[in-house]
Amino acid sequence: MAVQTSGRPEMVPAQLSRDLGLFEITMVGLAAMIGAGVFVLTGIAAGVAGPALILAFALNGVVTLLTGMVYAELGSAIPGAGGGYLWVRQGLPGASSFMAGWMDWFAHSVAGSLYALGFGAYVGLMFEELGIGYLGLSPDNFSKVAGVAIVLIFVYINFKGASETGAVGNIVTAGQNAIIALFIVSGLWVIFKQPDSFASFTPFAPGGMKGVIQAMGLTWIAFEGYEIIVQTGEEVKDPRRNIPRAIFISLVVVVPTYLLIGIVAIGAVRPETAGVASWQWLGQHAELGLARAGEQFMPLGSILLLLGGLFSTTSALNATTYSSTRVSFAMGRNRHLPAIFAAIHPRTRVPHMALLITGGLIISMVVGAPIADVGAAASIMFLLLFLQVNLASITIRRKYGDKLAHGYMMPFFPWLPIIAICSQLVLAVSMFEFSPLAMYIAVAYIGVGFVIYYTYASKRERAAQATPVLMEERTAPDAEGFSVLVPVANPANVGNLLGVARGLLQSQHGELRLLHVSTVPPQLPLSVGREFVLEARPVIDAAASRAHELGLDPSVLLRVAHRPADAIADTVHETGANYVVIGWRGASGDPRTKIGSNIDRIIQRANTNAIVVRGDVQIPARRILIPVQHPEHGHLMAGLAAQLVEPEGGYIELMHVVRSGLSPQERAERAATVRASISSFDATEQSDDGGAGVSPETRARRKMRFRIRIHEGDDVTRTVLERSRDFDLLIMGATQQGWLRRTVWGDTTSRVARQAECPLMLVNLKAGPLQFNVSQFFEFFWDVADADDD
Amino acid sequence: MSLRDLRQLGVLLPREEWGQHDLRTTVNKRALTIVMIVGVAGLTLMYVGDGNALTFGGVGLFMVFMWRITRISLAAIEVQTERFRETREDIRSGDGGEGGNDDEVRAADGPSGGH
Repeated sequence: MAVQTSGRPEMVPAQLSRDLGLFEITMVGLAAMIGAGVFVLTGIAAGVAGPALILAFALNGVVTLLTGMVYAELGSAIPGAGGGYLWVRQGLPGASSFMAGWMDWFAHSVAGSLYALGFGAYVGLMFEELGIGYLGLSPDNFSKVAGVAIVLIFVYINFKGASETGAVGNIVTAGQNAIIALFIVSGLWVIFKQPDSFASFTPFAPGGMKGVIQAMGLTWIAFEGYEIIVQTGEEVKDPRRNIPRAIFISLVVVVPTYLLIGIVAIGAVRPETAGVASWQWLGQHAELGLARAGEQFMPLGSILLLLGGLFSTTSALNATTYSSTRVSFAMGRNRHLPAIFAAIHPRTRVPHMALLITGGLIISMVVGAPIADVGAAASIMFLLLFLQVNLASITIRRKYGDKLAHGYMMPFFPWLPIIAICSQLVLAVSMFEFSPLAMYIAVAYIGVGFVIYYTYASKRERAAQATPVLMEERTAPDAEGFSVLVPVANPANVGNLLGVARGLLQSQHGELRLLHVSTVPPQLPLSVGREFVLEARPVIDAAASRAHELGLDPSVLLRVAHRPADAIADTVHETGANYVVIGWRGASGDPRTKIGSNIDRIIQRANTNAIVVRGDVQIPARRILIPVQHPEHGHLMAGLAAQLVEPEGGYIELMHVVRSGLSPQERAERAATVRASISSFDATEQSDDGGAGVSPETRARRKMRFRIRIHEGDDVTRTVLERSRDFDLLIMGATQQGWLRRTVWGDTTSRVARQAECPLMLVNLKAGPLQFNVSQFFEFFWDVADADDD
Repeated sequence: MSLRDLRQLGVLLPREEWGQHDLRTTVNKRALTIVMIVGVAGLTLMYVGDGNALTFGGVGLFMVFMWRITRISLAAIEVQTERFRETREDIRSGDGGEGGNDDEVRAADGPSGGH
């Protein structure tokens, strides 16, 4: 017998230092928004939307404001380095949190490489103006070299720590804002001095609303700075108050600024070519549109816009480097990425390995990626990320809202995030139309993310969250075949459970596993549970002795958990148990539960054949009743009953309830349908041998009789209850769960289970992996009000 | 995806405060509704104006919308902070601190963003 004890120490989460105040984080947000995005994209967007670029900016402002309110609520209540990724992790099930982080990391890294390339182009322009040239390189290669250099510089600056990052960012942001302010003032001066400038705004929307929406999608990346504000959460003083304030302050600066930039760019430009509208002229100059416009009407326009370009791209690169590093750090801390991402430098308290790897990712894209289309894909990623965050905000408010300290609560909940979700879907679709390649890149990247999640991250995530094992004794350490898991807590009903387990193991050779869970109150760490080993030992030893009396040789396992259901589900997952046999004392009276909170939770979390036993079940049983509503259920329940019925003289009745007044022909059809469900047992209605899943020896040994009875009754529950009084065991179950909600047991089954007086077995048979995962996903939302999952 | 995660993040309220804090927004909804109508009017005028004077009237209204909605939101943050502090004090002094008491309702409806 192999004895093994193990325990996972409670991990102390890595913490960042709180250095940043309201001013610093507001500047971080402004740097991320009023930056390279608007410099580079204004010309392109004007070419798509025309003068309605202004409307596109305003509408983006509204959509941003909606999501900004969501971010303000969540950022104040759950401040953390992961930002949106962190909340999706809390608020959405399954792969959603990994995908949110995966997309967030990619989007910010790609945005960073865009800004690095933009910086390189501006440096090239500066060298050209100064007569230095491109140092023997092509303009493209020069941009790449300069881009790599600036990434390395900002990796170093970020490594120095949050304070230094904020200080450098503040200087850069202040400089760029001054230049943009001069650009706006100069442009407005020209517009009001020359009243015919207003003619440039007519026609207003040459591309119609389609052009406006595409321009919105294109410039969306310039509005996502509040994502970076919330990612500073763990480094902010008084985050509950400062984070929402910074979000609103940055938005009230950014949105009007963009509107003014749009007005000035359209109104103050004088195209050299007759017949060309100013918006067409801006579109022709594409990413240099804004810079060329400034040269026309701004004092020292060439030099200042050059500096503005340098400032904006560097500050945006600084912000995105910071942001993508924090996301990958959070993913490492949550075990979605290797632990190296969660390492913090002992001196600077910066996630230095995440920073280095993210820097490498940005550089690799600067050097080798088709950056324009990948940039469009980044916008799609941002939109999908915000969409998930909006959805998560609804579940977080409903599940955990009363347990969190909010600094701000969004109005019109939940309609506000729902409207934001719809808006972001429209924008994402418009981006698909704008750049098909971006769609392929986005889909491919998301596909790679799913592969990584299901082959790597989900296993680590589950291992990290699994309840600790305090002791394990295996009778057959290498056995991986058929096994039956029996959780034991109450010595009084161990015999019943083991009787059922023996019935299952007689028909199919395998291993019996006994599990005892030491529960620890939620307010205490699980490590406290180690002290309960001595208390738990007699319980599990008594169960093992009883098993030996029944001729079984069990393995035993001792776990510690806040909730026994979690430990049972973890054990099922780790051992691949084919059956779990659970005792049930009876209805709890809690209207939120189907059977009981623990049993409901086991069924939801563990995908295996679950048998719930109530009452004094004698195995083998002489008379077994199986109410059948669907033929497939009848087949599976009959297969199980065949393993539990008394070999000599026992019988199994499959009863089907029909409404009163059914015609004889319809009754006959129903009976034929139910009869078909046991056809594979080679049985007749009166008697026959064998059963599905039963070994040849057992089949030969047993002489079973199946009966099929059609009962009339308008009240199915009452009819079944009345019939059950004549039987030793009532078996009920469900196998086909709906995709929308994985019904543990239907209402009728639940009512019968609660009221039946005879010994009872409830059976939930294992679902397919896809069905189980989809069911779990929707179950998460369905049970959103049940927050007591700690 | 659990309270355990939130506890590890250190963001959970003490258990005795669960369910005690008011979950109603402190944003002044009446003022917000009026401001949103102004914002929608601004957007509509921008488009309908077709680049003429009405368009710029719409831009002006939209600027007002942005400014007012920010003021309303910042005021709501201050009220929320104060309400949270008061509720916590009530709980700790043993008064129960039911989230929806009259004082808090007044606080929620009080400021109109005109600080």
